Amino acid sequence: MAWFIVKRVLSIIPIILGVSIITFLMVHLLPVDPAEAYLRLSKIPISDEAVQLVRTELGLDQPLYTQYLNWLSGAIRLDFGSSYITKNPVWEEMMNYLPATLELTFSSIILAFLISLPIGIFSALYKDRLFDHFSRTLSFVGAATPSFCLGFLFIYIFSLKLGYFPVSGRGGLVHLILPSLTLALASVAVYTRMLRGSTIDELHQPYVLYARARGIREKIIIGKHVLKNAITPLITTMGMHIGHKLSGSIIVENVFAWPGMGRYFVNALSARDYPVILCYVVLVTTIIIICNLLIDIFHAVIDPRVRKKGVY
Amino acid sequence: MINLSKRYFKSSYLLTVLLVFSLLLTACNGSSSSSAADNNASSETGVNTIRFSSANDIGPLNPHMYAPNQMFAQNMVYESLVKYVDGKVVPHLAEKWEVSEDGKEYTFFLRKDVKFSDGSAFNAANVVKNVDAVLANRQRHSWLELVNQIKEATKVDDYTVTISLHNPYYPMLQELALIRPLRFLGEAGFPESGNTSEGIKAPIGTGPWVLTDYKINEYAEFSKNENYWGEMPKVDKIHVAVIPDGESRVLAFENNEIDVIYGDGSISLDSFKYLKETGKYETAVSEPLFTKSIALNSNKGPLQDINVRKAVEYAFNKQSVIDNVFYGTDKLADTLFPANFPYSDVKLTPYTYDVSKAEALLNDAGWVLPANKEFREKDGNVLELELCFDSANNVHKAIAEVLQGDLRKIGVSVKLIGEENQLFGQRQTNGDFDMIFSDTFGIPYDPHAMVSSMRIPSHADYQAQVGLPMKKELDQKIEEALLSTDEKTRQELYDYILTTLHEQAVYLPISYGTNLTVYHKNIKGLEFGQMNSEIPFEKIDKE
Repeated sequence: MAWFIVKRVLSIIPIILGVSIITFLMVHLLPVDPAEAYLRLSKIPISDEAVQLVRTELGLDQPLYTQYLNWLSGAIRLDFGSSYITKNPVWEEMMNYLPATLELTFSSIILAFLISLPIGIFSALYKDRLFDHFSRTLSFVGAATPSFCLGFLFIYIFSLKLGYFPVSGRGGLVHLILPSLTLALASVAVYTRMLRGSTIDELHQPYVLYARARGIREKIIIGKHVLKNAITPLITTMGMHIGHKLSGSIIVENVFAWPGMGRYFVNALSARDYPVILCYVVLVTTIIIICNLLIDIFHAVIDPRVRKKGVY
Repeated sequence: MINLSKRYFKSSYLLTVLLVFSLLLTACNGSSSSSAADNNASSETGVNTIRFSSANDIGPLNPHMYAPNQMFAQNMVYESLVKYVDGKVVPHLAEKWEVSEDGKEYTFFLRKDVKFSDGSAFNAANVVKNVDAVLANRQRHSWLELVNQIKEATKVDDYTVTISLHNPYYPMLQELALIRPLRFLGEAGFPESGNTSEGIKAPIGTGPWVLTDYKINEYAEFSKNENYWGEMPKVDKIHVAVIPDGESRVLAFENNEIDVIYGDGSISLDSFKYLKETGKYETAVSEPLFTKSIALNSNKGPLQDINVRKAVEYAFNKQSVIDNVFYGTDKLADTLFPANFPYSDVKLTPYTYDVSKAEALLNDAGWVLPANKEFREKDGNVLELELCFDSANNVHKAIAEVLQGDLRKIGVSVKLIGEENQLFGQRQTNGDFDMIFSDTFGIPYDPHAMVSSMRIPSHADYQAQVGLPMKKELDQKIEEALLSTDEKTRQELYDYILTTLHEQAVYLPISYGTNLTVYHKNIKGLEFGQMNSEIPFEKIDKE
């Protein structure tokens, strides 16, 4: 187990190196030079002279590999350079926005889990009955509605009409509920269908039959044995969704004026703020890899079959 | 096995509880800090706060720099020597001034009762220090002719400063009134090097407001400056929440989380119309501040022919745009500048909507409509024009669609090209367009700074005009107008410039842009600022 973790942690390094190189090259392929973008944002006329001045200032006049190596030597020490626009250290700024995004991501994942769990199980137990049809419809609607649309709908109903929650900003639990619910609902659709499927599969396993034969109460069979096995694929999906949500919260952040990384990143993209773009991609990649690793470990912990077979 | 699963169940249960608990904890943690902000914003006893919102963070509040500093916020904290009011320049931090006979030397007599928000005195040494800081970074400010023209600032005595220029430059006072870069930072705000382009230590200004609380990308809170020399603000605090999305802003306003919506583009025109029609709120539209127009490229494709450019002018049904896109908030524009702008009252014949005239012009130009075809042709080429717009700008998009429909009626095909903001800017700079949206700078830059920029290749205006046979002469006259000392000659030069631009049909003026505001009925004394980004918060009161 320990060796497995060490191996996985070490494998992060080449992945991040690869990702950073690809991002670095892609960023440089973007049309419009950052020096030009900066001048335009500052409403300064773009002459060759002015562009040259800013390029030298930002170190963009050096060959590409020198720029990359400079970036890399800093990045190892968590020095991702300074934002072209704000002139502040990127890492500091990122750490300022990261907690808000993590808060939103994790609360939405937990919320999605808490909502899907009962719905998924009951749809499986009452397969093809009214509740199942209802949950299916809900899933389709949830999966098909764009998050900005859902967000505005929630604001309209729960903030404006009912007055339960504030419209925007970050603050207490009341601020967190609507944006995480918006972000959660798209996943709820996936999770309930998945949980329903895996629960139905498990219900057909021989051990359920034997358990029933032994006269064990249905509640215990479902709650203790079936659920435990049925939930495993869900945990994997949730782990993979963390990355998706981290980077996918941009629209929700915009609608709810949530001060997270998403907005910071989008602004950086349109300003061609290379250091911010690179830092964001590397950071999100790392978080996704770590989440996947944790999920694998979690699997091993809850499922002795995985542990004993030594799948890893 | 059973033991194991029990253990697992216990541990997983524990994990869940822990997770939920930590979540609650972080949420509560957050709430303690922000509920403080909320309280400040609304219910702190005895403190009267106006809640405002901005699409972007206010930035570091550096008076001498540009993005990401927000102009409305810079204007709250810093002040200028003179102020621009109703087309005239009036005293502000300088109580009076004298101009030398050759127009190259301006002597300013400063007010003696002005203090910075930290209590330090505002004096001649401070003015010199700030002007020097701006000049040290001259290249950055080269877009502003004034900075190019300033030779130096010298202290005469504690409250008298002389600013000398290379040439007599008549818009000197007007440009001194701008929100940036020539405003004044207190001594304690300067970095060790004195070079403010590297950043400032603290935003210390002489203005009516002081930044007292700030959380990047969440909110900024300004309190009234107790040391303020002028009329004290009516309310105690201005709370500026960052709300990037216009529709969210409308909902926050309806939910009474913000008091005032202000600014061109801060909400969609549909939302403005909706809020107005509810009858629950006060709304207002400002006087024209700038001109929304489309530049027609005289240097590329079919528009090189003046007749084609004129045909476009005649074929465009502007009134329909005013009625259906702007819902009457903007006023129809016949000329590049409204007649009430300085030197802009020039007799020009508007290109009024006339389809048959447009068709006749195209026929004259040799673009004829072949039988059974939709678009005109000449020498086997189809008459097609590219219209570029910023894809994020819904108003541009709507106008572009109207123009496309209007030109189709006279047999001109229009290809709409929606570009990402930076690429849109790049097209303006490179001249890679047939038609492109291009607004004028607005008060108080219009017309002088706008015509001045027409000489600079990185502007869409220059690119659009470069195909004109008299472009050289035009640039010459612009130069002369800016450096002229005689009022009459200057007006004659402007007559020539504005008439030529109009007759050559290089601009398709659409509307005179305005500022919009919506506010709750308990808000009193809200007026429009003179300049686009100037919001007179100090006059607003809340009951």
